[in-house]
Amino acid sequence: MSSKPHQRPISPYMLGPYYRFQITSLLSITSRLTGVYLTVVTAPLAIIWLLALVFAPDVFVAMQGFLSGWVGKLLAFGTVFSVAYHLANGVRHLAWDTGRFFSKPQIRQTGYLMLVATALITVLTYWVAA
Amino acid sequence: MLQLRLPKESRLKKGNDFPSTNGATNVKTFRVYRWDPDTGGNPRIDSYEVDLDDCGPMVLDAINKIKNEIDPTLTYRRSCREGICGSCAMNIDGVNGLACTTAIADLDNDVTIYPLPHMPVVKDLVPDMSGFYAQYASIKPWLRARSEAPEGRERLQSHDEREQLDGLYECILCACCSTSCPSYWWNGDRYLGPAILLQAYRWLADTRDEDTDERLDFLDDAFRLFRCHTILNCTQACPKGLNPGRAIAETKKLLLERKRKAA
Amino acid sequence: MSGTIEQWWMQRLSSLVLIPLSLWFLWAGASLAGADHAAALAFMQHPLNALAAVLMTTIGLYHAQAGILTIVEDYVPGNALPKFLMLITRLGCGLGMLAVLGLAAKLLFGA
Repeated sequence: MSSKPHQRPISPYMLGPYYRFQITSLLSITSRLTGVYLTVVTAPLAIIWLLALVFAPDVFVAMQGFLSGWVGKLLAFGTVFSVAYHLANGVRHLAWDTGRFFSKPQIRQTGYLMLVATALITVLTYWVAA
Repeated sequence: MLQLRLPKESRLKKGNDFPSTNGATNVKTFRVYRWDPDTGGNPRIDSYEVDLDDCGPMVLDAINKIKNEIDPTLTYRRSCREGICGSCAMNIDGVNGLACTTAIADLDNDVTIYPLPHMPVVKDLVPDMSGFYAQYASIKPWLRARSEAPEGRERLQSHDEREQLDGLYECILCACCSTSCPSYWWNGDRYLGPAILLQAYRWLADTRDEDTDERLDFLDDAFRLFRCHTILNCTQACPKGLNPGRAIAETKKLLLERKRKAA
Repeated sequence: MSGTIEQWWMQRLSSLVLIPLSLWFLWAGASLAGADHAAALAFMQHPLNALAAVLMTTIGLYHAQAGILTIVEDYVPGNALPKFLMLITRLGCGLGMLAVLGLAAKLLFGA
């Protein structure tokens, strides 16, 4: 055996297998993921849509066709959900930034409230579209 | 740095089983993280069956029983056994807490016990806390006054002023909150983490302290303070019921207020 | 990096403005789902909708850029790679803003 000290391992940490997902970390990482979706998928899509609308009517028609297909519908649902979630949780974060709603029960309650708001906004959007 | 998987040499492997031998009927299995610096290799998980009919009510009681009666090589920190020293902080059943104030009865099924998350392991359940303590020292955690001390007595506070320190001074620096914070996992070398930031706010909130400006200058940094994204695993984890998340929010408010005044 | 409170505050400010704007975005998207070109153009040529679209996209891109930069700072170590990723982000968002402004000029004054 060598007398050289062995390199220290890093203790287990990852959310899921080693550190339990709780309402705090789960809702937080989802906020970040919806933000990334809005940046990477929704923003380019919306800007291309606007550009096509103004500069290239034939591309616009093709885009509307794509958006009514199942891939388009899936992307649109991702957008609606992401906007709703990011908005609702964003309001929750703004409230925290004022120093309010930090007690443990409030952290949980505002989390559930935010999820209900997300569902409501999503449903309402599809209701307007219908 | 974001690292979704444990580094290869840190991954867990199955260890030894220590089944209960005396025909006990009320048995609970504790799956405990083991790593020995003398032999090295990957850490392993040893399983110990503990007779709960002959064991105290807390997780620390079970760990003590394992060390005393089953396997004396198990290494961990413990001292006060009443939640005031912070030594026995560990990851119990996937959540950080003090082994001495966590009741076995509150835990379902087998209990997994790991060291505090994302820390270099010295041995078994003993993490290397030197980085954490260095960060504590960096906030200069003592009263910094410039004015002349009053003759023959302490610097006095009103009852209201003293009350500002409630919920802050009770922190025992166990690091349960900091090591539950994903931001601290990825950037613990530069981000101060919830425990140290709560301690920093403890001095900002102290009316006797006169170095507020310098303290705020130190904290107004993309990494030291602003890696906090209000995930709030910290507030969930604190075994003393304190609220590091709120203390950090109040610190950001102080910075904002100062900026507004300067403008 | 010192003086981060300004960046932090700007991100909060942009989120505050984006609350009504993102509701408008959902409403507009719902209203224009499956719309033909003439109807969509008429909708967007309404001054209030045009204004909302411009604000939504530019402030949205500003907010997105700030968010991505935070994520890069969080997850990507080192010096060169984060700088490169930040450059790409700034470029992409800047390009998007330019496109929107050009578009707005055409919508409002052109045609």
